[in-house]
Amino acid sequence: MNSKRLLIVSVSVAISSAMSTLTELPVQCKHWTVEQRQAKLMQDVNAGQKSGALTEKESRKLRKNLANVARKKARMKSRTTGNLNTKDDSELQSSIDKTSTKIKNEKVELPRQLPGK
Amino acid sequence: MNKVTHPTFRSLPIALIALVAQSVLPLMSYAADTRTVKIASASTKNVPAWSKAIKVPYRSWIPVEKPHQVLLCVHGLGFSGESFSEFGRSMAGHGFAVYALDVRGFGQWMTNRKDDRINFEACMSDVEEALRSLRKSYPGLPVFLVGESMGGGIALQATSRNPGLVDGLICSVPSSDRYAKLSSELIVGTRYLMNRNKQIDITAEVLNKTTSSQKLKKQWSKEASNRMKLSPKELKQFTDFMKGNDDAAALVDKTPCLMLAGFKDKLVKPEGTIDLFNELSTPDKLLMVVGDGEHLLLEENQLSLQLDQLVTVWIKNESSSKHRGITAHP
Repeated sequence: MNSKRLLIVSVSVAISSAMSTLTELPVQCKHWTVEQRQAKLMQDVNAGQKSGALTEKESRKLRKNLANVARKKARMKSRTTGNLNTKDDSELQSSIDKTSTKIKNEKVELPRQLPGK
Repeated sequence: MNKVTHPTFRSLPIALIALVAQSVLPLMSYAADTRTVKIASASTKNVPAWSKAIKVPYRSWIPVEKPHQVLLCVHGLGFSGESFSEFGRSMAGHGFAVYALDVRGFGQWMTNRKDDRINFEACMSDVEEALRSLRKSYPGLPVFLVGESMGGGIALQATSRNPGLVDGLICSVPSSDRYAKLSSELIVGTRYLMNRNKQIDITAEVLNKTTSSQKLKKQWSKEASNRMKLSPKELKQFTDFMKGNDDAAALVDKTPCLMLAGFKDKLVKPEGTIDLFNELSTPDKLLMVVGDGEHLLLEENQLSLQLDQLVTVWIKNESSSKHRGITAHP
């Protein structure tokens, strides 16, 4: 009887300690820098154009959007000592979000343009 | 130093292996290969060119000693990879492996009916494929993209799309800001409306403004590998493509760039090149305006000793730089 109680207590202690460890673990999410996102979106546009998911015109337009982000970043960097502050970074991230959404939308729109669809 | 020229149509990856093998062999002179190898069909109408195995016509100048840098050259409108002959020989003499490809619609592509017209998107894929092949064939070596005029625009846009494949960019007069731009666009526009496929002779427009030397004009107009007749449709494509250079320059944010302009250029305004230079996001950039330079600075034997030395030193410095793409300062 004692050994049964001991087993129950030890199992419950183990579960509770495991739970507490889990809740204490920091959330491991990848932080994408502005540069990484810019590079990834350019790759997405290139791949979209190659696969035919994006037309030449759409790709040109999306690259123009990415160029505008690059211009904005260059302007911000020239104002400071070459580094982006938190405010600039979040502003650029939001511009990239918009471009990213546009890329997704353009790619999603394609099936409707296919003949016979 | 031995150099090899390969004016043939072959798949770049296979040819590269052959070239590397040949460069090891003690060649006594140029191997001017005149074989005509059929290009594998790379249709550019219904299916994207990149979905096919791309066969790019090219020429190369390889030093006997193992090269430390690789250059891929893209020619200007109307010319072909052949126009980099002197540049290639000279750069190979400095120890660089030099490759020059033909842009779709020019050079060896003219012999293939399917690809005898300009196709910039297919050309962009050709450049990308060539860069990948070169990186594979020369692992660890920095690859520099060199382009003049239209080729400068192609090189600039290729770098903006594939920054990871280009370690440095040399861009000579890539601007679309031409003298008498409006009148020439009006002529092309009118011809386009009349018959967009009927070819126009651009010899007067291009050659007269490219050089003041009568001898060179005659020489270039007679050169079989040059193409000076283009349809209004192709010229419109060219104009539209070159308009993308501003955005491409803004997108080059890490690749080191050397931009060149000729002060006596009568075809493209040097100010246009300076504007493009300002658009470049990369801090590692250098602009050189050649005082007595006309439109062509690298191609068609126009490379001056001064420019030859500048280009060589720039490439070598960038290759060994610890701050490549970050700052031009040591």
